[in-house]
Amino acid sequence: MTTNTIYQFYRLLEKDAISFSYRGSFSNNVLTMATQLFKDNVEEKHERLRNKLSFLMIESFQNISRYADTEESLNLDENSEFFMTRNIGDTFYVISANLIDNDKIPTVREKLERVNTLDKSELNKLYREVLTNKQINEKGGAGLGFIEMVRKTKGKLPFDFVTIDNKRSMFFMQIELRNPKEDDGLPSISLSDAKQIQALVAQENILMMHKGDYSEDAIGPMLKMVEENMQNVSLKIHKKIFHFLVEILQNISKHSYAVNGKHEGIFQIGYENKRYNIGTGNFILNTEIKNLKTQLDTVNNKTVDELNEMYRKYLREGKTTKSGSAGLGLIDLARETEDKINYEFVKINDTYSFYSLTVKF
Amino acid sequence: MFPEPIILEPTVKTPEVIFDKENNIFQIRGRSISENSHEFFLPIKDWLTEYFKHPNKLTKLILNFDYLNSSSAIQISNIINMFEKNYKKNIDVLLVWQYERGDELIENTGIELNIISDVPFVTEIFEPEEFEKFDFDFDD
Repeated sequence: MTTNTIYQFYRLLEKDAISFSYRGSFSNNVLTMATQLFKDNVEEKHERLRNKLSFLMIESFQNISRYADTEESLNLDENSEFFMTRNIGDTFYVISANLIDNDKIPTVREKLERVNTLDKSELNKLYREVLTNKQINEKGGAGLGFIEMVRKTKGKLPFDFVTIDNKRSMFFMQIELRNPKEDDGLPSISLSDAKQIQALVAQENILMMHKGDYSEDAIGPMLKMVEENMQNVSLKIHKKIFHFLVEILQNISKHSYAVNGKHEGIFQIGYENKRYNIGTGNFILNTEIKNLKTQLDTVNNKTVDELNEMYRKYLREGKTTKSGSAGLGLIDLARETEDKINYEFVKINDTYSFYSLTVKF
Repeated sequence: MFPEPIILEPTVKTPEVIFDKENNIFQIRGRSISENSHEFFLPIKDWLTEYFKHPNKLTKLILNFDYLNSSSAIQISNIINMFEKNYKKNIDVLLVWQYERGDELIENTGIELNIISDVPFVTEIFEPEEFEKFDFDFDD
């Protein structure tokens, strides 16, 4: 993950009001938090969709754990499970990707093709049949999940299998939930978009990614989610990641340039060569770049001893940050990161630029 | 009895606070990650100003954080400064900085605060299990 990766993702997710993706081994914790994240942050006009969205996220998520057969490994690779929810305009997308054994593909394909061709009454009929016959296969589902997904969205389920080797494939599926009361006129996003994002997330070793409004209220549930998902990481690393995420995200909510009243931002947590990366991106006024750059260069050029000295001076003086000097948060960040703070500014227009930052622990 | 004790329940972003002169309990525990930490700690600092006009024989402040953002660290430094000023007026005070074993960030913040202040200051490791148990009993 580099500062440019952040910008690349920002462009890919440019239209997303909120998006969240997660890669790696799945626990119910991730699910609880992801659904909470969307519950807390969807716009009022989409409020009626909240319960449906939660339901679809749960179904999709459980589908991953149901079909993810191949032995679970702790190491992440390009084929690790992937889950994503996006809100673009008046539509929500729930995307899943997971490994599937090639010999199971025909059954899954058949179920999906069947639900994709049935009309409403046929679906209801099939739903009741499956329920009453209790024809449950060894993995605990007779395609009821798929039937429900189609019934709830009143749409089709785009899916695809991408062969990895003669034993396994990657199974992609996308659920599209449109708000029936609103129509933004935007075309649907194709499954190939999802594939592209998954491939880039895997290539850049990203574990978790979020894009949305980073006003103070929005940060809370996100921090909670990150924290809950760090329970298997050592206390030292877990605390560091959480601590710096607080500093960085609060920095975005305080200092970023609000476009259309929103403090839009993106953050990513990555894991590469046994080290964690945090990356963030947000907009900043062009007039503020010079000052910020000076602050970043200042802390980047100090030795640890000098940084400690600066840190103590700030604490001792007990003053909150004044513009023109590096804030305590940045000094703290520079003290703890193993390399320098990487940053990049990409000019968007004459008013503002995109500012991305990465740190390693 | 003046001043009235300050008892604040912990929230997602703010710590549990007990400043109780009558029962001689002074502690801040938990998580302090609010962006508006200045606003949160202001009434506590005001309370301490009143309190130190007629302090108890010994004022022992327990600081026990699991997370502390940088703006809260400044507020805690402010509070420690108040203790230091009174200590220099021959008022007995003691600061106890507690951290969970292995939590380097909180341990180091305690070390820094100790370095920059001239006041009796001890650091202690605590076992979180004891706290969880305590919290559980407390809630029930």
